[in-house]
Amino acid sequence: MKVPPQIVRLLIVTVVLVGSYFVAKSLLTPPTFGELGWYRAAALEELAQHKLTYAGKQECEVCHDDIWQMFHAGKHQTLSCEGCHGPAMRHVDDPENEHLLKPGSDQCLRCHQQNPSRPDWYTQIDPEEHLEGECIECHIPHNPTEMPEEEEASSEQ
Amino acid sequence: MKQTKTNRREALKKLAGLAGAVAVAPKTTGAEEALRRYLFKNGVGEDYDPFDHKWLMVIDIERCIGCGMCVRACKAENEVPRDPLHFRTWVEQYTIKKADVATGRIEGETIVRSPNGGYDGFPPPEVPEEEILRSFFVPKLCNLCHHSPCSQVCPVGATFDTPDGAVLVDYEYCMGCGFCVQACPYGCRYMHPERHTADKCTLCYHRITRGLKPACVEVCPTQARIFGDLKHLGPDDPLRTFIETKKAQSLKPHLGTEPRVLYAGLDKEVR
Ligand code: HEC
Ligand code: HEC
Ligand code: HEC
Ligand code: HEC
Repeated sequence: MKVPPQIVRLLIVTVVLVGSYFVAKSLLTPPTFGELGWYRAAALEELAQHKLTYAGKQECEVCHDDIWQMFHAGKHQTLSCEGCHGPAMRHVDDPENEHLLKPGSDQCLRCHQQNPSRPDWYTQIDPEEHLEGECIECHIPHNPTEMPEEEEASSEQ
Repeated sequence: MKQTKTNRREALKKLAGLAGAVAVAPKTTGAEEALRRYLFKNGVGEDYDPFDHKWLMVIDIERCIGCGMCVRACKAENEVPRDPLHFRTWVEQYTIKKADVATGRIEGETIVRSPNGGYDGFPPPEVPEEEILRSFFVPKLCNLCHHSPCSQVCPVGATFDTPDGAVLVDYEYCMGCGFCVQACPYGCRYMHPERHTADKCTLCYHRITRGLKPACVEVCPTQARIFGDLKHLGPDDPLRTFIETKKAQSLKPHLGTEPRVLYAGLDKEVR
């Protein structure tokens, strides 16, 4: 039986279309696409390579174990060192040249200022009624219920 | 999404079983293993298997003091623009006023504000204290939806749910159409003004794959944010305690997105 020419033409067009679909697909699909799902599996590794800015509290213990001990005996133990001192990854890598901030009273008030939105269990002060002066004159930041010793307080800053 | 994945796995397992009957027996377990493992290098060059973890963050509103340390840490860690328009995580201050008795209502107006997303901390509410019925802070972040609308609408597969529980954006592949920004019912996505791609909370993927906490959890002073791995929950894991003891809810449950981020102490006014 002779295949009608329009069927042959249709077949050619179909083959070309299907063929070009597969060529385009192989060219346009990036490598590792679909290995885990409808996405590029390699993206996971790429995103995991992003650099760190915050070192994490556990890093500080090695070099500042005195402060570490005091810190974990006090009421600030749930705080992160880097919350007050700022991101410290660069400091951990090069402590001699990369210095950290020493937070002032504004940082204390950011957390402790009286605010009706804050939960009742949390200790807050009214800065107008509380004793006057820099907070760290009367509170050791790493163990806030303790008073700093006289000469220590005056030699700082 | 989840359903199809397991179905596919079942089907493949059956196929593998058939093949096993023909070929040598140990190959079956090998094929199964291959489906469950996918190793890649984390930031410090160690092998990391996303199938071995299921990360989760939950929030205890009763513990949030609105210091905004999390907002700061998130921006610094993830190069989020510092302007008051772009956030991966932010904190909202809710203030519900007392009702005027004459109206017959129980509660008055609800005021929500988030000055600079909480980056600079929060001043007391503008409402005088005697008019406040109740007031509290609500930290917001990607809700890690089980059925995430954002990854469903992405036309190129540049945003996706990972096996370990994060929802990520492939910055190399995203073409910046912004559909996902529109699709997110929680407003947790934005277009990055420099990168010109979508951006969102990654649960600090680069940190959690290294075994660190996300930056916001790291700096939270009161453990209002609790982070953990559902596949490796220790007996006293704070995440386990939260799940077992708190009555927690998700945001906008009627949307059927099934957020995995749960809030304890959630007020009915929070949206
Ligand atoms: C509540 C905020 C706060 C937290 C949390 C905090 N610090 Fe400090 N830190 C301060 C302040 C304020 C000073 C400056 C004290 C001064 O000038 O006397 C300081 C000073 C320091 C210094 C310099 C000490 C010196 O004698 O000059 C070191 C080192 C230090 N902190 C380490 C740490 C480490 C490690 C942690 C975590 C365990 C930590 N800090 C947590 C507020 C904080
Ligand atoms: C490799 C050791 C090392 C590690 C790890 C380390 N520090 Fe330090 N840190 C130092 C040294 C050394 C100094 C004193 C630098 C100087 O005075 O020149 C210092 C000083 C400081 C100071 C005083 C301000 C300054 O920069 O001089 C602070 C605050 C501080 N460290 C906080 C931290 C915190 C928070 C961490 C944890 C993320 C940390 N450090 C981790 C070695 C370290
Ligand atoms: C990141 C938030 C944060 C910062 C910054 C901060 N604190 Fe605290 N502070 C806390 C938390 C949380 C507690 C423990 C909860 C409590 O006791 O209510 C606490 C407890 C305290 C207490 C003990 C209260 C009590 O229970 O008797 C004092 C005092 C205190 N802080 C003083 C300070 C001083 C001074 C500074 C500044 C150097 C400071 N805090 C900075 C969060 C913070
Ligand atoms: C002149 C010394 C002094 C200064 C300055 C000072 N405090 Fe105090 N603070 C005290 C003493 C003493 C107490 C304990 C007695 C009390 O409960 O009032 C205290 C208690 C506290 C408490 C616990 C309150 C409570 O109800 O248990 C907090 C929080 C606190 N201070 C924060 C601060 C902050 C923040 C600053 C800086 C703005 C500051 N303090 C400045 C002396 C001082």
